[in-house]
Amino acid sequence: MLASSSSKLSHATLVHRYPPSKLHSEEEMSDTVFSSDENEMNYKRENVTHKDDENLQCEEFEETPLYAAILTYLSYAILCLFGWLRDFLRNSNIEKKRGAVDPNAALGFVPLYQSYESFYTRNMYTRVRDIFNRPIASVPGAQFELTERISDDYNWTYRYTGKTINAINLGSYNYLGFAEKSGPCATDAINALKTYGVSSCNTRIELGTQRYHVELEQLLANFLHVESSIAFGMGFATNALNIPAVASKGDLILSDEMNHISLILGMRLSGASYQTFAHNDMKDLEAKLRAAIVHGHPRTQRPWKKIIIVVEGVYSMEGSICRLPELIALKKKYKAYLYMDEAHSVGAMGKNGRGIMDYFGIDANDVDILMGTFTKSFGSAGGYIAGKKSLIDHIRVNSHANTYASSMSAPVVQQIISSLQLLKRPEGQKRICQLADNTRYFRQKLVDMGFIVYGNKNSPVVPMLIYMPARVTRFNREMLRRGIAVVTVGFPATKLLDARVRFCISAAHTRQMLDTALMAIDEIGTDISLRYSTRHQSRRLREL
Amino acid sequence: MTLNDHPTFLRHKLSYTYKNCHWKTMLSYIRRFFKFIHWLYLQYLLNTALYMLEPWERLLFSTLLFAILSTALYSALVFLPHHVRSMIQFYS
Repeated sequence: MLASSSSKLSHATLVHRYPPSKLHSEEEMSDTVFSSDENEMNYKRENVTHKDDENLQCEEFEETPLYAAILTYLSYAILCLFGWLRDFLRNSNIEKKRGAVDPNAALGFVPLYQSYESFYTRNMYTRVRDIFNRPIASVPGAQFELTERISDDYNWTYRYTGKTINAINLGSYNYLGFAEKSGPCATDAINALKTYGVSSCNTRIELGTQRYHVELEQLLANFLHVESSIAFGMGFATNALNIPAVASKGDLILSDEMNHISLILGMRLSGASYQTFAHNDMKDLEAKLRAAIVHGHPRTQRPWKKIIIVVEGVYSMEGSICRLPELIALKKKYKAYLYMDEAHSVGAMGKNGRGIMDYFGIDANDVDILMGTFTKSFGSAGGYIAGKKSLIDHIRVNSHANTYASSMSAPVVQQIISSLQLLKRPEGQKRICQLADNTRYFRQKLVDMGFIVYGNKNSPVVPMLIYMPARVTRFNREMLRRGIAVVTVGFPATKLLDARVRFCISAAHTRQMLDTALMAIDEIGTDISLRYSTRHQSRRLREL
Repeated sequence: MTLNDHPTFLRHKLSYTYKNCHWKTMLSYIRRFFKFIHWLYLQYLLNTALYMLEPWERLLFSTLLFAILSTALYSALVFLPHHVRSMIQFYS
């Protein structure tokens, strides 16, 4: 029974220390981007011997320290007080209103929106807006150029100085390093542009299907070891418009509580009933499945037409990986369907880059609907759905994304085709190994230094927790001053207490770049005391 | 904080150019003390979210905090001995 393994792997407490011998062997690997064949073979052999279920699923989510929680609430209380003061000053016309204002209020119209710009946006987000949404000025590879912007009035308006800042990129979803402007993929894309032009000027159903679309779908189906696949132009729309094609009124959708907004939008659009289960908690899911099958629809008591479980491969805010073996067992036992969103995991996880299926060594036919995006690992844009031929044929006819969206552009498709073909060759395998090596090195160093890092030790998304809003802004600004661009996320995207910085490791990062980043994190972490962890001892980088 | 104020850079600069001068090491202690005070001020700003506020708001909050704390301290210093003595008398 699967409950025996799921009871051990509960969500908050399992800690596996990294065996020290393996760490030393990793640090002997070379500093170049593509390690030599011999090292790669050694790595592959080690990889195979350590693949047991417990080691694959070890995740750590340390609890929030009490003083951090108190100080975070205190910070938000003070920000709230000053927000009320500033709003009072603005409303009584002592201070000028800088945000969006309803133009028709004076003419006696009913207000169009409840509040033009919310309290949070006006008083907390705008004060530190310069750390979010920075425009970039080059291809987002391992190093890139940021446009420099200066604000004279506390981030209400910006002026661009015209200069650019060269920074190490720890924020782009460039897992396999395909975001390059030169190389085989880029040359192929330029040739495709010259052959086929930019747009196909039609939808897939009418005259918009070109031979590169067919080639892409065949290649993708072979890559993932499934029967058939279909590709769309936008990853968000793939979720939002295809869940209504497979689910409808009278179905039940059980989704993880940390699912992406595109999945939630698709669920709402479909008209099916949905319930959420606790993040990665298989016991909760099983209880809800049993209750759903036994009781049926809450109002009419009729049995559900079908039950779909929606999970993600790698959760981008938590860095955790879904428990696929247990999910497959549950799905087969209760005859439910499984929809897995592999946006961040396809290309990045697994020995051959096939995603979570490859990572756990599970047959691809066990998951009913596989979804993924091309934006993250393939350096392109768009999304796909893969599965049995009957499913894909149904989607081809019934999905709005296929019948109304214009088909994917030629250079975009060619980039994906070239990167898929590259992944089969040894050069692609080197990228996958480099990504795995970078991920484990970076994560292990952060954890050893005493920072709280969430998630599975193999996921390339590394969220490090900084609880207080002021520390988040200071961290971001200091990292930029040292030439490293990171993405920090705060309240609406995460819970109020858990503001964090999310590092996205790439195969294009060299060991040197990671070391620079680690030294900067070490220094800033000491300056603003970010070493919250009580499970791991706090150490400086020079002691490691 | 410019690159020249960076702690390790300054320390290296001092150790390479002024090796055995006692008054220069005393200067480094004073510099470290001021750096410590700056670090404490930074902690105060970060933990109370004053780091995100404008300078006049920081002044307002710090003034209020100082006023409240100093009033409490003054009252404690003036009235506590008498209170404690009268409580001891009441209970004995």
